[in-house]
Amino acid sequence: METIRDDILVRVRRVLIDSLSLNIEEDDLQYSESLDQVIGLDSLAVLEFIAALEKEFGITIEQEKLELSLLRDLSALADYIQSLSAAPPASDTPA
Amino acid sequence: MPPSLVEAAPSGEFGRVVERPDPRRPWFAVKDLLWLFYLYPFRLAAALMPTGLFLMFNRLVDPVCQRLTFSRKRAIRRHLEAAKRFHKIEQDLDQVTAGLITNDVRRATDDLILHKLAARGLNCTRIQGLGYLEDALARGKGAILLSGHFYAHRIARRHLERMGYPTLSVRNGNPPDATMGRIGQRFLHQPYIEYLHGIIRDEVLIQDPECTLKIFKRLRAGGIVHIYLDAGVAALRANSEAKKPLWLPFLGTLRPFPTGFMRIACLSGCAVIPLLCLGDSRGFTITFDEPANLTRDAGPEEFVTAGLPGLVADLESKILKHAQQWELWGISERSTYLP
Repeated sequence: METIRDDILVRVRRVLIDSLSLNIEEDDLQYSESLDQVIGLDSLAVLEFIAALEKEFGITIEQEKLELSLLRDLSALADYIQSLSAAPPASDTPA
Repeated sequence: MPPSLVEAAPSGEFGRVVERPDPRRPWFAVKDLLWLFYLYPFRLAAALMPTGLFLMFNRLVDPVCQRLTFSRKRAIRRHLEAAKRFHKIEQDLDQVTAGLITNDVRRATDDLILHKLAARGLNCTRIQGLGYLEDALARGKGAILLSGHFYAHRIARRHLERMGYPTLSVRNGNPPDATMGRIGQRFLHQPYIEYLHGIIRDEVLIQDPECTLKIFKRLRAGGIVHIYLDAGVAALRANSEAKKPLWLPFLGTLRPFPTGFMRIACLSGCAVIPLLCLGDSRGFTITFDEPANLTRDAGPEEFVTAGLPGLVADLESKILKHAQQWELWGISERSTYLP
């Protein structure tokens, strides 16, 4: 499970750098860093990040999770994406 | 440090705007006294007054305001003349100027009516193009209603809310008011902002760090968001390259226009519907235009630069046609007059 999460975290980091055309190397972006430290509190950039994340992982971030508190924390975001990937699609859930 | 800021507000709550007194202002201005009277004794009395009395109040106060507001009239006139150099304005400029002062007063009384919880006496005489909004909402990606600062928008929003179309308003929590003194700015500005919040209710302030996210969430839930396209000062507060305003010729001036909402529209896939509301509580009309034909394929940058000038030109033509209904004549402080 740890490997999956680590892989997600690497991809989240890459999506962040690519989607916002950040002028930093992947290795310079620490996992523990929050989005504030990297891009400030620009909520428009956050939207672009959300769109890129959803495309990369084929997910839709739930309405109640669309909060800066989650999105600014890369580590928590990776956990959330992992939980979405682990959950069975709604259509597969038995009635 | 910016002149104002919003104290960190928990998500979904209304932020409190903290005003720093501007040392260039006089300590006291006549407007401070008028606002003091309006916000306290008159607002409290108005809560008990029948709506008919408001109309009487309008008739009594209008001639006084016509005499007292000479500096606002001068600013309106200057702005109208600048526009007339480039565009045709059918009505006589003096008539437009006097009409705008009358509408300022009417809007202040309409706000008092809206502040009453029941808010009876809103007479919508016509709604056109509602199908455009319904079609957009049926697609499930929400709709941005785009308008200028016309006097009737607050009453129209309330009417739409009652019809089952709740709308999130995006507003500057610290609107510029050059005519207020330092005492008014210190003691009356915040109560005024809270008073406006009591009227508008469903709103997000541009100073809120989660403003964009809240707009996006509402659209993603298939909801409606109202944006003022002519919010020039607000556009200048943009804190990032992506939100940088686009300067365009507008009514004889060069004026900044917000671009952030266009990027949100591009990312969310929502419809952008021009909206025009005219009149006052005694009789008003609401017109939805066909959704703007915007091409999303070329990316957000192209989406903004290709789409925004057309929307601005459309708004400009509406203002010229209904000059007495646009409340920002003479208030566009950040505009540069065209040579």
